[in-house]
Amino acid sequence: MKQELAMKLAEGIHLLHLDSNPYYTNQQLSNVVGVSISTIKRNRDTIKLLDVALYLTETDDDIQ
Amino acid sequence: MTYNRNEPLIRSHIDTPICNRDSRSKGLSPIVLISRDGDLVFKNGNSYYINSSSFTLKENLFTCNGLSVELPTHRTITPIERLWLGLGFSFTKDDTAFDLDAVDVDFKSILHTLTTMALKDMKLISGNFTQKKQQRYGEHVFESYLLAVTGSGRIKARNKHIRFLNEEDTKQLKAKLFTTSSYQAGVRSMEYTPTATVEAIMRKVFAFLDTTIFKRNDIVLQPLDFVVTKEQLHQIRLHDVMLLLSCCTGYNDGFIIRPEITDDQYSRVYSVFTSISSDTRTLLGFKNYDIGSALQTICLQLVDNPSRYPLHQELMNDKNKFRHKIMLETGNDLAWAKKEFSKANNLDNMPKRYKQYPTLQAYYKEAVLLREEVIQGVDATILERAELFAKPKWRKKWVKGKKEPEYIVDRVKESSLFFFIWTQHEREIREAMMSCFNTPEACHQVHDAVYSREEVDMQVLENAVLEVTGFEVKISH
Repeated sequence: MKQELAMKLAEGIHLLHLDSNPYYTNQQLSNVVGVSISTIKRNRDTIKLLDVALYLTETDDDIQ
Repeated sequence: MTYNRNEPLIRSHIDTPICNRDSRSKGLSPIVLISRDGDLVFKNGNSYYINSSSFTLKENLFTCNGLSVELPTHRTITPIERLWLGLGFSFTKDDTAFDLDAVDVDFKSILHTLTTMALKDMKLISGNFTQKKQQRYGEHVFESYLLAVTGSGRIKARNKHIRFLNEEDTKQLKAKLFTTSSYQAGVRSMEYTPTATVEAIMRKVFAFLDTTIFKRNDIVLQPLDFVVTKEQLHQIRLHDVMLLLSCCTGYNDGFIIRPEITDDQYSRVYSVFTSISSDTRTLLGFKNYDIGSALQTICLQLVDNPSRYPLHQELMNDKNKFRHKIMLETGNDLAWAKKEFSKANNLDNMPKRYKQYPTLQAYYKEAVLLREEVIQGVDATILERAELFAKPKWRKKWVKGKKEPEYIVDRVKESSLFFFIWTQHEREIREAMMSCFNTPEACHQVHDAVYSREEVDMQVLENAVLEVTGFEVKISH
């Protein structure tokens, strides 16, 4: 995965977390990040790790 | 990994440490959390392990398989970013302005999203609801508010927005947003009055909207369209702001409002323009051309002997003088007197309080006679059309063994029939007035008045009405 894509994904997941939405779908993430669903599916392992990592770095105050 | 929201997702720290043999052999600490897919996440120093994958986390630096990414810093999301997100658009860190195209998106969906955001900000809906359910809350609350501020605020129980608030409202939101009046099944719907909470939500919706930058649309304006600028919206009362924005079709110097006309009664026409206050209409640059004492003027010219109705005549000749007379007699204010005159002509039964006010009592008796005479002498086509829309009169029927009475339709309400008769003539007058303007199609009809941006001499209008309809009317601003 390219650095640039990873950055975009991290930003997108972060925004979905901020939107109090742990239940986001591939489609929602694809809309927020602006990449195709197939890209999301192809990078699902990294997305899972990013999701966990972001969850670990976020405090409850950040999630509105 | 799939992101199906129907899957059970648990994301919480586990209180009881769970360790299996594998994790012990790797020297891992107990589970730190369960991932969205139900995987266990173990920690060893700065490294985290999920099944066969692992990553390290040093402050905000995420590293995995040679890839290092600095995770986003904890910044507060701006209202417009939330709107953007709610509508499913993408945005990146580099964007500085978020232009919204009001034509590309249904404008109401923007208002629904903003309502959702306002509800969330005020902690009125749970953040644990799915995005879709939160959005539905926003939609139904906004639409219910519009219904509550339109006309009498009566909303039928089968209305889909009210049904949502009644049936799916796990947060008891409806009780916080609206106060309701009594109702009678099948006869009278509940009247909804917005509370201070819902007004605060709407103020927040407007504040969010105010921060939004809209793209300019090249829309061809239709005759009845009008443009409201953001500055004008700030001067208008909140009810009207929301009513106007709900009819927005695009953005061009201001919000382009396209009133949707409901015209199915042969008499009055209804649109957003009839729902907003007269002050708002004036502020938007429209001039009113009112028919003076429309009901009395029309009806007294329909009957054979107008001298039988001296009080109606007196009111028609000098409305203010007659109102003051009633104010002095009853000791009430002008608003009360205005309301009572309207009631006297629109009620089937005389209110008991009239017995202590002789002039009002006499006026009511005249009104009943006038109503009868107008109905008797009316043209068959007009009567037929009026009967189509007149409200039914309900009669109580007591059934043996039942505690509650049943309500059955007796016949049509006389006062309602009368209303649909004289308002058909009122429409003829309005149409005659509109023919005097350069662009009649740009005139807005509001009950007994016509609104236009053009300036036309009153005398010209009065003459046209007399010539076309035969009614002699007084028109004023």
